[in-house]
Amino acid sequence: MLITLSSSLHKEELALPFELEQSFIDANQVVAVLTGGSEGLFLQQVEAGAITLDRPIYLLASEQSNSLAACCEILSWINQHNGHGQIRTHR
Amino acid sequence: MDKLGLIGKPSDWLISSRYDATILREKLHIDIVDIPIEEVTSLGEVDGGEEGALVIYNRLREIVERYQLSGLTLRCFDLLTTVKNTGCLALAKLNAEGIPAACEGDVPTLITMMLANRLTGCPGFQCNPARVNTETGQMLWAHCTIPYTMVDKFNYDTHFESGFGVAIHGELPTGDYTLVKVSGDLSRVFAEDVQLIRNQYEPNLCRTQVWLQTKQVIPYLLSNPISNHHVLVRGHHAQAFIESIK
Repeated sequence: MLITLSSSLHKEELALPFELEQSFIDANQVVAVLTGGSEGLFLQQVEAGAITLDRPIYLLASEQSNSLAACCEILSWINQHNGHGQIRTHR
Repeated sequence: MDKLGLIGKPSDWLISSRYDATILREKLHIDIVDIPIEEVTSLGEVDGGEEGALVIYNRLREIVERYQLSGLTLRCFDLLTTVKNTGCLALAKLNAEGIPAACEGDVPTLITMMLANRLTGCPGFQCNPARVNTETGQMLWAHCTIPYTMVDKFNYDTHFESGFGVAIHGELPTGDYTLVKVSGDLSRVFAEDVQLIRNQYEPNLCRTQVWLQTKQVIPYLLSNPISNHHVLVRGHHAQAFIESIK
């Protein structure tokens, strides 16, 4: 499962940071955080049941648009709520 | 007791940056004072350049005096749609004057900046992690404001996300720094002595951009970060920060 998040704060052109194998996406919860300001969108996905804290969450960070910053804030929230996750910055 | 102003609520995206007012009062002798954002947004629309940014600074300075604050954090993105300028210049100036001032209503970062001021007598640079190189241990950190006293030179640019207002591209001296963050309940602290190795200036990033040579920062950030914002302080003080909240 791949969920892509981006905030309306950012107007610049955005793209997935890197490609992942489809088998990895199919087997895991993968969230591409394209911009800063996406953290609330992540919580909405958790509240809607689209993301569960019962399984590891892989956050994909790009090198632009405060993507890594948002990933850090989200990962901290996941850990505070007894979930598991990690940030990936490259394939 | 130091009074720190929270002007407006923390920004909506700071989902893991809560604080415990009781612990801050008992352990650090810090009181958090809630101040309505309207105390700033009541300015209405100001000039979009340096002149307007100074109007925001003057308003914050009035708030500091009225509430007898030792520091403040501002829900600054609310200014973009109301005052039509940014708090970047104002926060840079306050920090340079010895009043710790953080962006986005981020209380744990303000606490970290306050500790930096107490321990070193110097201001800190609130910054976002932007890029990592897991092979070299080098990291890029960036933000749109920085204390004037931390830079060798600077120029004004637009604020990154909004594309308007006044933000600061500063260039810092290379050399010894500490990257630090404490959590809002003081249960965690991360501090590492690092080297600032170069400055850069690219679009699609906050305007002040510095590369650090690190050892433990990258594995910490990618697996168990305290939060997004961290603080960069001149000199090597990691051990002092860790001991300060024991």
